[in-house]
Amino acid sequence: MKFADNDIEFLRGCLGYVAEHEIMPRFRNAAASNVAEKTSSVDLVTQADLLSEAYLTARLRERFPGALVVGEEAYAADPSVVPALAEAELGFVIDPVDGTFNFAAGLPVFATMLAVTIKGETVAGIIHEPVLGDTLVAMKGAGSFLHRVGAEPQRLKVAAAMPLGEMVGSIAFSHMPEPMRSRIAANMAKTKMSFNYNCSAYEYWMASSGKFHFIGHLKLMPWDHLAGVLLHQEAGGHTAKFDGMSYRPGETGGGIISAPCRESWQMIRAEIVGD
Amino acid sequence: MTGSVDIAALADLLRRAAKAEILPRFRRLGSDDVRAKSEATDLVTEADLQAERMIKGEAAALWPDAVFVGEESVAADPALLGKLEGADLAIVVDPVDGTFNFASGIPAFGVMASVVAKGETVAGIIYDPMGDDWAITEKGGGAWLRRPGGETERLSVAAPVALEDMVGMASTGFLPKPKRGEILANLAKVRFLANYRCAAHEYRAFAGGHVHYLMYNKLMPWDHLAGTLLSIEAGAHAARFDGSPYLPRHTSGGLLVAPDKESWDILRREVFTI
Repeated sequence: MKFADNDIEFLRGCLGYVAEHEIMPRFRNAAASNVAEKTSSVDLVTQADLLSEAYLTARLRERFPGALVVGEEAYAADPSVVPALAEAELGFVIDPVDGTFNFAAGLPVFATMLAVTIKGETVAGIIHEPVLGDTLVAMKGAGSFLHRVGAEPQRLKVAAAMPLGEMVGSIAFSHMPEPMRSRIAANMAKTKMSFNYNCSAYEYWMASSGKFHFIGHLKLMPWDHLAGVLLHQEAGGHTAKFDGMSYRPGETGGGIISAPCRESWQMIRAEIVGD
Repeated sequence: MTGSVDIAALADLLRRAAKAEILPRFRRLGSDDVRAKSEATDLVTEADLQAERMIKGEAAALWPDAVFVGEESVAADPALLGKLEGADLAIVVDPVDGTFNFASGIPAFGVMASVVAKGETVAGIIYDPMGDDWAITEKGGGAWLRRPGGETERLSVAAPVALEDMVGMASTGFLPKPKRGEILANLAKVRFLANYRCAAHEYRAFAGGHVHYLMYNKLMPWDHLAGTLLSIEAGAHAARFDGSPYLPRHTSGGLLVAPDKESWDILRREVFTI
């Protein structure tokens, strides 16, 4: 099984197709979106998620027979697909609508994410934004780029390091257990400004283009993080799990922080996440 | 008609300004097009300035008796803000609400206007340039989502839920330092805290019944008058931290918005302990 540079164009085409045919027609269209709760009112699944994943899975299987294709629905049917990413010869990880809560609430802050893994390493990541059709592409060793519709690709670069009191950032504490949740929530007062856009695609995008200084999450489902982490690393940033180890396909726990450099990472780890 | 301001005409003006001056600049700003105002996260862009210029110019021609209070006009002439309270009729405009998002490339920004008659908000409009629709309200007439094709849909707040199930947004960055940590820690009691840095979208989501609370502490009228009236007309209980109604002349005292009085009281007591 081979994955070549020109396969990126194929993947971008697939993401553009689902944006146009499965996602945007259901945005702000309650009758067509058919929202269902998974575990709570902030963990939702819509027809846009289900139909997009089904389409992408079928196209990937057709072009890359034998590849492991992982999305939330594939995982619900067979949880062993996630750990299998650590070994798979060629893997694709899909998040059809990252930011489903926003999508369902009519907020235009959502995106489709796709990561490509080879033998347990992320080699490509794509984030496609369905509203305007702009796309971010990261290739291992080749940098991260924003491809805006009708413009030249633009190389992304993380922010310069700053003192903590000058940083803007987000740690997704709402999903954490106590006492971590209260501790991190209170520690966010040490920063200049915190936010939560409830969409990891945009968080990684902004951290990779220098608009946010840091982001962090506890739960590491691969569709939420693999593409974004590569985007951030290829934009010059430092991303690692709370224990300092690098985050690899197949892993789901241990928490993660992205910061402009190793020193900033250590500061966020100590001052915001704490023990 | 509200006072002498035709709300449909004002709504159309916001949309035309977005199409002419805001959308063409989204994700296309050069470094000269963004400037910091009070601090690094308080920005103004060419889109804010040119959209307000266009709205102000047309509003002056259409409604010559109305005092025009725009965010960028007040930045240039702070005394203008004081004219809001005594005016028989005023139009308050935020040309780009969510400028940080707009300048960063995040599509959560809006164009807002409200009409104030004798110190009271009588109409509010929130236009979303990305989705091309308005959340729109006139006092006593309910809250509505309106599309350019003419379809309308009534907005109404979420059903009240227990504190631990509440999902909402709080802008904690403007809270005084010692209270900020306490309130952030208290926010661990609710189900979920988001913060989109865009009052326009937050009020729109609240009035549409998608979230259960909103909290703001810095109350510039262009950020909150339209959304507060929209929320109240969608069934909300909205009040300052001391329980008094939020009025156009208020710029401090906090603002908490909830689906009903009981939810408001619980949030005030358990979370927003300022």
